[in-house]
Amino acid sequence: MRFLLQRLAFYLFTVWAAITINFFLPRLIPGDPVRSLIARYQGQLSTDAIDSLYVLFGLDQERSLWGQYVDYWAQLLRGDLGLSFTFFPTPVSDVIGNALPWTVALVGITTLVSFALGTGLGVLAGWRRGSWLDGLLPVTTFLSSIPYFWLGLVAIALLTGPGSFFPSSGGYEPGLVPAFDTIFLGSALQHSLLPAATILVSSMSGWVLSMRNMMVTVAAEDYITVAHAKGLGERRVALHYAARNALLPNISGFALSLGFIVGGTLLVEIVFSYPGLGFQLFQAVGAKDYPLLQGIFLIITVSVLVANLLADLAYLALDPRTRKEG
Amino acid sequence: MAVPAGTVDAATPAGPATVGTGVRHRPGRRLPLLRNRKAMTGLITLGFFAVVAVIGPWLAPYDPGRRSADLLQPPSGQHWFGTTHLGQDIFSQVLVGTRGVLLVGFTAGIVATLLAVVVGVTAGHLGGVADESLSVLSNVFLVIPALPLIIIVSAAIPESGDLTIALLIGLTSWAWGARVLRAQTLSLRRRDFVEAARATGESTWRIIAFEVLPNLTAVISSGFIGTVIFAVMSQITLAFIGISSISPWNWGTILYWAQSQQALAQGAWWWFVPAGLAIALLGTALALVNFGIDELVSPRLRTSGSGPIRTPDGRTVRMRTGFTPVLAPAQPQSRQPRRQRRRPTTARRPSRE
Amino acid sequence: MSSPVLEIRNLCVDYGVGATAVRAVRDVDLTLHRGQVLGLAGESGSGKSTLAYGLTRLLPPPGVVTGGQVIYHPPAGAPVDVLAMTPAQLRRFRWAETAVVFQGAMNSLNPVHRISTQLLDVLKAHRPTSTAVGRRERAREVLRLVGIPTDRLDAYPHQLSGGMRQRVMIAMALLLEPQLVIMDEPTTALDVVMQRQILGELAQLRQRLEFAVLFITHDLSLLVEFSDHIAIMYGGRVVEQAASDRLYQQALHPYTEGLLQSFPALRGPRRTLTGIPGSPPDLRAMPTGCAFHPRCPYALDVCRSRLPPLGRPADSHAGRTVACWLHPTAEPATGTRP
Repeated sequence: MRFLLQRLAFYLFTVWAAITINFFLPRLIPGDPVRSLIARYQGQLSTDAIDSLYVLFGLDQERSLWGQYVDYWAQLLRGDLGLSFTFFPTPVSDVIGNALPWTVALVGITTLVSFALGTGLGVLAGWRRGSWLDGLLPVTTFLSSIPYFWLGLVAIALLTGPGSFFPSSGGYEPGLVPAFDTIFLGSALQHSLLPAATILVSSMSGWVLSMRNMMVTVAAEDYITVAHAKGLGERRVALHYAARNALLPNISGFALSLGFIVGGTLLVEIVFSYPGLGFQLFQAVGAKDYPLLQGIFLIITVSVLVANLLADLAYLALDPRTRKEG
Repeated sequence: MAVPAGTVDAATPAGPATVGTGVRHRPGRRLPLLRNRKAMTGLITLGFFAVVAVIGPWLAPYDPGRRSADLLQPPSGQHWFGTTHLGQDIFSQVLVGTRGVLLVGFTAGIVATLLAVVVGVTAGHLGGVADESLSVLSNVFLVIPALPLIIIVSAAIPESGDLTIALLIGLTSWAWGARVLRAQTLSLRRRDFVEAARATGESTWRIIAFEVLPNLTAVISSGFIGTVIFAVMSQITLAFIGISSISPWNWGTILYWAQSQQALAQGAWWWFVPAGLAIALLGTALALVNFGIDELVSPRLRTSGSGPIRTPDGRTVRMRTGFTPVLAPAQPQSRQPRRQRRRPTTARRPSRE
Repeated sequence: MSSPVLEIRNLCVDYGVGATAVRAVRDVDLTLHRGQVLGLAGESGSGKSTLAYGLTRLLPPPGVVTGGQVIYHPPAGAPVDVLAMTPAQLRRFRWAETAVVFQGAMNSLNPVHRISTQLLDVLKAHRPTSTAVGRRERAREVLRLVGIPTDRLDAYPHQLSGGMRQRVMIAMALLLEPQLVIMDEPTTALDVVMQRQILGELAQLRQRLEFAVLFITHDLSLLVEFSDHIAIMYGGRVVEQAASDRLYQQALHPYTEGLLQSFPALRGPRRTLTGIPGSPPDLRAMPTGCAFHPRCPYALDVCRSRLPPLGRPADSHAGRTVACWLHPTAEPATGTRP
């Protein structure tokens, strides 16, 4: 349990750090663009909304920095992330709330599938070194060097178009109303296939490679020799001894690189105009929608931390050494 | 900060035991990296890009920004990579853009590596509270998603040129290297020659400079190259989504214009294919150099010494852990019935019958 | 008493294949008799561990066995050549007939599985018809044999001390009552007290269960006490072989003499501790003639040019062999002990 508490404390600290970065960054933006944006909507904004934006951007010159910081936290804890400029006057939290499920479904599932598939292939390639799988390594290196978004562009150019099964953009058929019925879910699935495949192709090879290298490293461990010496079956040695141990560092590597992966996968959404956080982020950048940008950053960070915590739990379940005796 | 036991290994497949062998114990073999085929391929490709980065602007047949009447032309003898919607020559844009890509990539790599060395080695060598706090700091930077962070920071900076972007990437991507270096330094600290240096009363900084750092060369260079890869990708991504200034040419800005002018819908594949291939090629080259370094540091990863090998008498034998192959000189009585007997494998041939 | 359990004939083991190959074990002949302890001693790099891993075919790449035979004599039935076995045969043979206790129990146990899992999977693999209850009972039984409380059965390796772990490895080796147990530096990683204790227990177990032991160590003093016969390896070859007491009383090979003089006398008059100057030979560039001549205080001219054959020395009792020009052989080497 101590391990878990330590991790939890660390994640809380990181959330604090992210929020603090979020607090200070807008204060670096020269006040004018924000002020002018607020001014533009002056007539339509309630006093509350103006106050909230003032707190977000530190335009309230009267308050001390510390006072501003306290206000900022109070506002965050109420779930108030300000109003989005792009989708004026929708609150940022609503915009994010609409986009988050799409991203969690697309990026979350494909990342897991990519890790699982890549690890599986890595086990094979590492256990049977010198087999045809080794010949694939240069190919996978090349694939993992391609930016995700560019692969998406190529996929769109090659596989979509009039008469194609794959839609080139969006998260569902434009005429449909989001609902939990088969038509909508089917359409959503159809729209997610190509972005998912793009993420899969470019992210999987990294896992293949790292798992292969871990398998090769683990295969030289004494306990593998012992397992062979015991006359155990090949599969038992490969899976229960080699792969089981090689998986551990790969899982912590997975947790640590989540931040990198998520950044890359968000871009796939942009290319496919997929209605998730990445696409919103892109639009917010274009429109200089600072409240939305910040909100998205915060929510991505928190999601990554939650995913990290889940990976920690998995690690805890898989490695008896991290569990306390008794 | 408690860290899962395996994470150190994850970062360095070699494990701590292999650190330093490359420098200390093989005086006769200078630059062993050049003997590695993967690394060599990577370095040559990298060299090619470096040359293009230097002389690209002079090689470019056109001014990359100049408009012409050849709107959206597919590749031809006149325009090798075709033209944009404004009639700009894409080949020239790719050539001129190489400089920016490499410049930002390597600047960010240097900044991040310097930070990683300072933070990682200090933490690993000093231990105690300094170590704890530096470790937490690098872990925070590790788990905060880097790209969104870079995006919101550069959105806050009004005009972000190449240098700003490079610094930004460098300042946000040092944590991985620092973590690896800390782990390696920690294991080096317990090595005999470092202990010996400490016992003879050498100063901490002298030990770090002359005993620790030389043994971390491989880890530092592989971290450096990893950061360059990340920096190149990030920079192109930022240009692609229109965050950084789009006035200087780089491969990302080409893609930005291709995307914003609906190159796809117009079937203008030549607009985004060359830049994308260039990125992938550069990324592959860097990754190959890193594989070379990895194999150098941890000999277990080398592909030679495994897989099928040919024996002097022409048989193929598979190296396999747990079942050492037997290569007895083939004996007359065992050689003849080999085919008829149809063994399940040709690999583990018995020495005698 | 003197029926052999394992005969090693002309065994050669290389690292690598082709031009870069390095020969680590050269033409080794050894015979291990039923119920006896054969000690194998030498400095690190002498090829003793390579020999053990080579004969069990557990040597990791790039190791390859390049020649010879390893004949195992089962208690009933015809002798078999371990080197000629298919992987399936080898799997069945392993642990059931020869078990191995590896150096450093720290890494020999899989850290993520319970002790029970690692004991039971042996039984499951070799006795597929056994019941789960029966397997667990057998696992408890072997733990009792090595003096580990049976409630530790479901412990993880990291919850046990170093000595306990090595005992678990010994228990594991005894699971299937093998005829032969190969021990590769089984106590080197332990402190001296623990080392003595475990060796004592091993000696008792061996008397009760009557398995033969191939005991590999760099520590000749252990062997003198623990084994019946001792073979000394240098540069990949066996250079001397004799009954332990005879070897201790009178070493013929200067290398053995050097090894004996690097630890204090166990009993009897004090000897001066001298050790051996120089370092073991580089396998890639072996000296011509006798591999030991550069370090040998008595080296003759002939030592530099001609390799001394291993055989019964003319100037000594029967029952021992040596490869040294100081003690020319009386008869051509046969490799077997009489």
